[in-house]
Amino acid sequence: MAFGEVKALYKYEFEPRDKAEVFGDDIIVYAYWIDNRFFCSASAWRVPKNMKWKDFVNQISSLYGLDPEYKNVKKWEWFHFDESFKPEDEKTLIELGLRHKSIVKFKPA
Amino acid sequence: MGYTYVKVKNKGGATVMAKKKLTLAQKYHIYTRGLDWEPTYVNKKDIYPYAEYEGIKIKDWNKWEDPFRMTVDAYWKYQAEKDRRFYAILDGFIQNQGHLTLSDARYLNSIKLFIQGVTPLEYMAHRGFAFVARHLPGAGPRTAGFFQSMDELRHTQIEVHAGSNFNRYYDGFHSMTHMHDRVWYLSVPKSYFDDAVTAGPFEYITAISFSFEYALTNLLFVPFMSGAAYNGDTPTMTFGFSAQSDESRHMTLGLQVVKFLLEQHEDNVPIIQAWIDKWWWRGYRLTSLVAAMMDYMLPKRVMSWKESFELYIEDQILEGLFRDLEKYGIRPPLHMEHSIKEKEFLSHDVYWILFSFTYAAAFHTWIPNEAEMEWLSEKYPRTFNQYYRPLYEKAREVKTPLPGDRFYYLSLPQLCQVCQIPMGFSDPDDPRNVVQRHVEYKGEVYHFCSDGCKWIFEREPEKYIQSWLPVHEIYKGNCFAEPPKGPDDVVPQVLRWYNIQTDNFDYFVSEDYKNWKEWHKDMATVVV
Repeated sequence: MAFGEVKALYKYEFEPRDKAEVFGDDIIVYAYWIDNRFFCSASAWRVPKNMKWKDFVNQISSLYGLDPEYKNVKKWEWFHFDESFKPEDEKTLIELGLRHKSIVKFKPA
Repeated sequence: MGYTYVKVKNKGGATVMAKKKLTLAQKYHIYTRGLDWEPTYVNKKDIYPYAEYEGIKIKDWNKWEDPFRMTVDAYWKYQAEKDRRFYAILDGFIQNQGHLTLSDARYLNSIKLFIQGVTPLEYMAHRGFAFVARHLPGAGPRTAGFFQSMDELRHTQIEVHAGSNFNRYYDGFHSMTHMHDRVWYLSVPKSYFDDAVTAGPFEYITAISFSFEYALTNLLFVPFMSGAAYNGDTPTMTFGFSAQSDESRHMTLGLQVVKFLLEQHEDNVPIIQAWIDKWWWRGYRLTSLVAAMMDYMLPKRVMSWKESFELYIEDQILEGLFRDLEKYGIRPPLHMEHSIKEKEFLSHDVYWILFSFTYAAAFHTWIPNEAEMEWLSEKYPRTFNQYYRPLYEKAREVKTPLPGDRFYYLSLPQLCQVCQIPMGFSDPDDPRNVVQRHVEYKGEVYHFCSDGCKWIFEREPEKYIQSWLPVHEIYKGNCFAEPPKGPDDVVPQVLRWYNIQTDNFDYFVSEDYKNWKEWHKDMATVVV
């Protein structure tokens, strides 16, 4: 993709306001329940890079558990952006390949 | 002024000077072109530093045909008369406790959105047109910019006065400018106008005078003003009448600007086309808040968003305006097709977003009652019952610890990097999911709600990497009144920083509803 330039009277370059460094040892991760519009959009979470996957899932379940369907699902299928991925409970978000502003998507397997 | 001196012969045959009244055209010429001059000891480029960098080429400013001939003295007289009428009606409404005769207190939530979201933009438009009035090298458009700048300031004032009468009795009217700079959903209109005023004068005037005033104003004003009339809100309706003649001047200016720029040089055509492409989508995304208001927040409805979009955009703008512009080499905006595909989803998606996050909003939402659900399914036979009615049925069942017998989204949403709306726009080809796009730029990922917003980012990424996204700002700790004492204190500290007091949560647990019932306890008009 070729990006355009902002026309200006001076060299127009800025630091990204929400770049990874701003969040230190944390990252922003988005979560999205595929095929479920009850949650109007993906959710956003500030979490430690070294958070274990199971703790992350536990954290987002505070939201997704509001849907009565959630507890009926025995197994979830996961995607990192649009790539299928197989997270392991004890691995950290970074070990699993997540990065700042990653989106993980899920649906009942 | 208003007079000139001409040479006449007196009775004795001598030449003397006599006073002569000017025609309107002469007067106009003196007040505008007559005030312009060619600099002699300063370089013109130093006087108009913003005139060239956008790439717009003007061969002859004198080819500008004034779309209206308004002189300053006529302007003051005319506007003062309109103000007198407006304030007389407003006073009558206040003295007669007019707010009690509204269709329902729920109606005012649309006016809260207006006063928090739109009125501060009127003020920004005042500043933007002052910039145009200073920096365009042509005297004609500078004068038009000056008048519009004054109009926008007047609109800000009378909207504030129209809204302030409700502030005594209802939530959500008390801190409009404070909230406009801080609250998550108000970053949508704020960032739209910040984008426009940080552009050069030609892009600004194309964005606001043409893309907004010409192409989108009807979509914004008709629902608000007709909605006001239908729901007994005389102040807002009277404001609408007072602004109407100004608005028609603004629209005329918008069209004149674009035609003038297109006629001046063929190199201007692709530049204008790209601005039309960008500002169509920016403005259209902004009016999605109006879509939600029209279909959900007016107790007495005017027309559906879909009907309004078909009338004002598909019939008038696409079939009318863009047919006229074909001869200049201008085509309809990019992504217009997608807005047409979205027309049966847009209002529902946006109200569902507002409904989900009402715990952090300075207005109330509610589950539509059965009659309203029926209206929605009749107006949207292909989408409402299929995709949206089930959401409200589930929302009734799912309780949270917060006030209101219904569901709230107890986390923060992913926002679009460009329009800043939570990314909840249906994919018309897969309505069980929302559109999600992303791109990587200089090692960072950015997310978008649509191809339109992604395209805008890719054209000028350095602009949008600076976006002040409310969700990320909360996570950076920039939006707390005091540091939260624990996870449960996060939202309360944000609300204090927003100055949201009793303005949030479901309508049926609000002070507004409680008071409305109390004031009407002997009347049978309360909606329950």
